[in-house]
Amino acid sequence: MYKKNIMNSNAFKATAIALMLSGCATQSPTLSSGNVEYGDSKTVETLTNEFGSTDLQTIAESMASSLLQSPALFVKSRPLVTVAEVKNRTSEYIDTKSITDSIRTKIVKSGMVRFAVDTSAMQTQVDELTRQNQTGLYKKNKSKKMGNMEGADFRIEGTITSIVKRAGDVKDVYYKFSLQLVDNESGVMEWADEKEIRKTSNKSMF
Amino acid sequence: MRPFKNAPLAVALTALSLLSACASHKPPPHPGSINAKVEQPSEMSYLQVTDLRAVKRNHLLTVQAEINNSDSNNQQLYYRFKWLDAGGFGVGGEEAWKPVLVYAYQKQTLSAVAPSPQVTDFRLVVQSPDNTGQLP
Repeated sequence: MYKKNIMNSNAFKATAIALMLSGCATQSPTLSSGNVEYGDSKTVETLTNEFGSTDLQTIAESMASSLLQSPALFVKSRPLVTVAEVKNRTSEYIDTKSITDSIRTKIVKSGMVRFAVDTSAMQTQVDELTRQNQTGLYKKNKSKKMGNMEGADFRIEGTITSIVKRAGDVKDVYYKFSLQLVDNESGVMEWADEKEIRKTSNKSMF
Repeated sequence: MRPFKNAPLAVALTALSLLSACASHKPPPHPGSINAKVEQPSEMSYLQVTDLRAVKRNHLLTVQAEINNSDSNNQQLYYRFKWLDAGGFGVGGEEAWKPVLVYAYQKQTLSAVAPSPQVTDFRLVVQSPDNTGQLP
């Protein structure tokens, strides 16, 4: 009698249904407060008209594909290139190293060009060679020798500039990213290209 | 006599046929046609890929697409390319979506270069905020 009462009670039924449902539900492997979610890193970002991820990605793709078509890179098989400075002449902070890193990554992945250590990584290169050759910790026939570094055939350098204009509630920003490939021996500019971006925002609601 | 004896069955069959019509079982695009190379989540209302050509230059596949705007207003287009090797595998990772403004009644040319000599095929993925909401 008592057993029958338990089986028929609403609490028992609700618990059984909840257990069945939890058994069926697929649990995603997440731990979230509900305020954070992952998005698409390649999406077109227009939150503000300051320099953003879409600008960086667009510039990198455009410059890398244009550079890979430069005839100068086909004179010699897999020429050696280094990245010099890209000057930021805009009114805002832009990490130009991040732009050149993206361009370099895309070009390296093509397999058509090799990159020499640039000035920003030179100290690390020197430290590594010094450690292998002068600390006495390494076998002489297994350590990498000093004086075998290769000089780059070309260097990549450029500038990013901007023109900002405001008229009432409208703000217009124009970016111009210029890049050039210079022959290190002759000093001749072998390739150059530009990528322009215009972004306009309007503060008025009506 | 019950003329509508099988009415529930008829309703179900009609609903089924309507649903299957909505699913839009169009024949697959002809290989080599523009539609075979263009991917769009839903059909764009005013923008159309009217020309598509690809050629290998300096070992790299170079693609040029022409987009036509048939509307009297400017239209926004978002696009990116998918690059594929001979085995159909993606090369170079995902590209960023790129915004392009296509002026009213005008054509806009998009061009792109494959990221690697391994690329032998491509897909142009296009999306416009103004679309029919139906599969192309």
